[in-house]
Amino acid sequence: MRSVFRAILPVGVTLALAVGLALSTVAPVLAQNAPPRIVIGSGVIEPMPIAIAGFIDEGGAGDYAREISRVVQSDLEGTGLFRAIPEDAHISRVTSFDSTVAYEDWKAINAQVLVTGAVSVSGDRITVKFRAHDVFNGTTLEGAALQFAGTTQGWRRMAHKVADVVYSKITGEGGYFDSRVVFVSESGPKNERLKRLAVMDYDGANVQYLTDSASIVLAPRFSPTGDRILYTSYESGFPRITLMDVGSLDRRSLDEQPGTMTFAPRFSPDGGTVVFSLARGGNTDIYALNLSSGGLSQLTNAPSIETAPSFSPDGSQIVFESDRTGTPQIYVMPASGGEGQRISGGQGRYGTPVWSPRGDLIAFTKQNAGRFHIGVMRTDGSEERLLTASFLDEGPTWAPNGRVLMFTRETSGAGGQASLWSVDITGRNLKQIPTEGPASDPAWSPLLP
Amino acid sequence: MRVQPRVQTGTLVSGLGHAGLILWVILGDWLFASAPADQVIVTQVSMMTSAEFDALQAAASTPTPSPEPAPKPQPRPEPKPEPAPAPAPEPVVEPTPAPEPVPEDLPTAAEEQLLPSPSQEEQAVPDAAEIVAPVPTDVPEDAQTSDTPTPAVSDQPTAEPVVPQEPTEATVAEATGTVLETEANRDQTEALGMTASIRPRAKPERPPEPAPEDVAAEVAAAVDAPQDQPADEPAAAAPTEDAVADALAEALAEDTSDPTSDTGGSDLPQGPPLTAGEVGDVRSAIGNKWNLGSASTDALRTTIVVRVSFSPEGQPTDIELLESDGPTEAATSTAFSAARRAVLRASQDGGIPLPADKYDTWRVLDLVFDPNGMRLR
Repeated sequence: MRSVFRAILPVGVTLALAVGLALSTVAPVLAQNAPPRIVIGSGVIEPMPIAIAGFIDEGGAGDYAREISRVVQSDLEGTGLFRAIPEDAHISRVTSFDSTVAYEDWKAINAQVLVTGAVSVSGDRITVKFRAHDVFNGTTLEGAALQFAGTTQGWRRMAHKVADVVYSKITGEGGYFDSRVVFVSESGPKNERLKRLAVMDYDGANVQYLTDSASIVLAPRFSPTGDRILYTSYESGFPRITLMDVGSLDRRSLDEQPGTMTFAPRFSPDGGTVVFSLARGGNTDIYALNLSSGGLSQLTNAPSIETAPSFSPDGSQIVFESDRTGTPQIYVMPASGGEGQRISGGQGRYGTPVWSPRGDLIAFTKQNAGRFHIGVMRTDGSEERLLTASFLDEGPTWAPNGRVLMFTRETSGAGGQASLWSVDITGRNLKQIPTEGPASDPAWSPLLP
Repeated sequence: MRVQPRVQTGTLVSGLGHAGLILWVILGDWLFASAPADQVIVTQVSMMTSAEFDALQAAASTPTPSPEPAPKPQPRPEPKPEPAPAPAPEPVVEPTPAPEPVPEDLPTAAEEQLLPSPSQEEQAVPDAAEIVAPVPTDVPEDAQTSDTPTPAVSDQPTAEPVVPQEPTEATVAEATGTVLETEANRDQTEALGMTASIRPRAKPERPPEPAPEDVAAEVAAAVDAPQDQPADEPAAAAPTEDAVADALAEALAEDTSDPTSDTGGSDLPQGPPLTAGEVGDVRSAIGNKWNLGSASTDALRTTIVVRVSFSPEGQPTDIELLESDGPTEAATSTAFSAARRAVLRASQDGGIPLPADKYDTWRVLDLVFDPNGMRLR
């Protein structure tokens, strides 16, 4: 036994000394085995200062160059994410599209991004080219040096496309400027309101009327390709779903069953199916109509009112509104139908749910404590956030990039009027969309091709 | 004649009696000394009037500093907040036996307190304090309990990078997050003074733990560290002492599990560490230029680590993306652009406050841009 201890003891002492030596010498060095790490956890959230140099007339452009640069600036500033530095504060003047950019001059005015461009017109053809520069990096933003060509009638679309690219390259999100909005244009006194369908650019420009004021129209919806519109018409005296071709303005009613009313239509993501509400015998359920075959299928079967269906972007689910519990709430069911699972859990009444193009959020109208709100929640009903509050806000519609919502706001009183408003999903940048008169029921188109 | 002997006996008895009496008288005081008489003490007295006596009685009725009897045990009164107690007189030092050692973990009184000494007098039995049952509280009916205990502290070390906090004289400005104010909650946030986020902050997701193979590779890399890092070099081990070598390898493995250790040694800081104040200055300078106002919602959920190399003048010479944790590649690209822009702007607008005498330390910095505290979901 003693001999064993005599054999182990030196090894144990050596072992202890070695470990101690290793820890005492290695640990301090290994603690510095990487550069110092500093956590930046608090930044600022404010509009990014950018400079839009006046687009250069490279031949025959005339006012187009100035107007295009103005629209680009308006688009970017209108997001609330950018602040354009006034042109009279610019130190450098861009006299040629291909001249070297004096980055130091733009740094001096704290411009973080510089947009330069040039326009040329030949006949009725217009060409717009542009570059977006990262001023502090001294380079052109990757993928932000492009050229568009088209007819002079489409000059605003080209300006929107320029802004879309710049917006996308800076924010990392898709653009939404080159899109249109269909809405209900209203006129006349409140108790005898005339309504007709109209379509406009997302910013309220280029208004075109699609119907006259002979009958009431409600709730228009764009097809996924933007070439067709669904809406509810009272032309027959009863609400009927009508399908309109935007190019030819041809229209036809869908599912004309006697003794029924159809309303609240919406396209499926592939455009081949329309889901809508059908009221028959005092009960309202959700149905799906195959546009190719004309086949009709019932998706819900409950004694309550089921309405306002909206597909998820992948077409697998439908979010809708039901008052089966006594108050309108939001439910999600498979696209093939079913009872659905309630996702709204707060107090108040929920309605007009719309699935985000990104698929991550559902926008809705909420009425609670005498006020209306536009809000968003996760698709499982969590993280509900109310973005607006007023006497009457309703009917949200998503921008193509899922970042902005447009909705109807109506003021109170006998002289109250409806108008179109938009808000960023962060709750910022709430603003009114300019329209010629009262307007309601907006529906955003996809990005135009 | 027969009468003569009887007279002789009487005379003898009388003579003996008288002789004894004479001896007692002569020797009695010497043999049986009496106790000395008490000495008379003479004191002087003064006369007082009855009025003076009454006044003396009246004065005697006021409290006197005479020692009080031992207090009877009384029910402990309710503690009341009192001003700071008067300094107690110093106790008389008496030779007392050494106190027994008291375990350090026992609670000790804040002040020295007198204990009531047991009295020999018969005392009344103190009344017991009234037992007051605690007020029962209503238990929520929907409260849920679990049979399995929940550990109070996680037994897993956090994988989040920890910035060493060192004492410093400088005060770092407290960073304030951005509170999302919408039209719907404007009143609420105004009422709150915009000091609290309306939503709880999301806990950053813990990065996945490295796979065992990765750890083994890192250990191997650490053991095979370059020769210019003598501390990384294992101590010389005799071929026969495998236990020593194993212990060294284990010690190295424990300390090289840091996922940030794969720097190859070229970026190792050589100088004294930055103080917390210096780190705070850098953080503030860059954070003030880190603008996420134009970032996508996905970018606001993307945390990146950027490695910045600096010239001795404090100018960034190289900025590279080291790590990222975000939902999409586009979001990572956007987050990196914003971070790079922040570094460049900070270096140009006043410069990044880096102490010149510690260039060897900040020659290369890893900056973690974590927007989770600012995220707007």
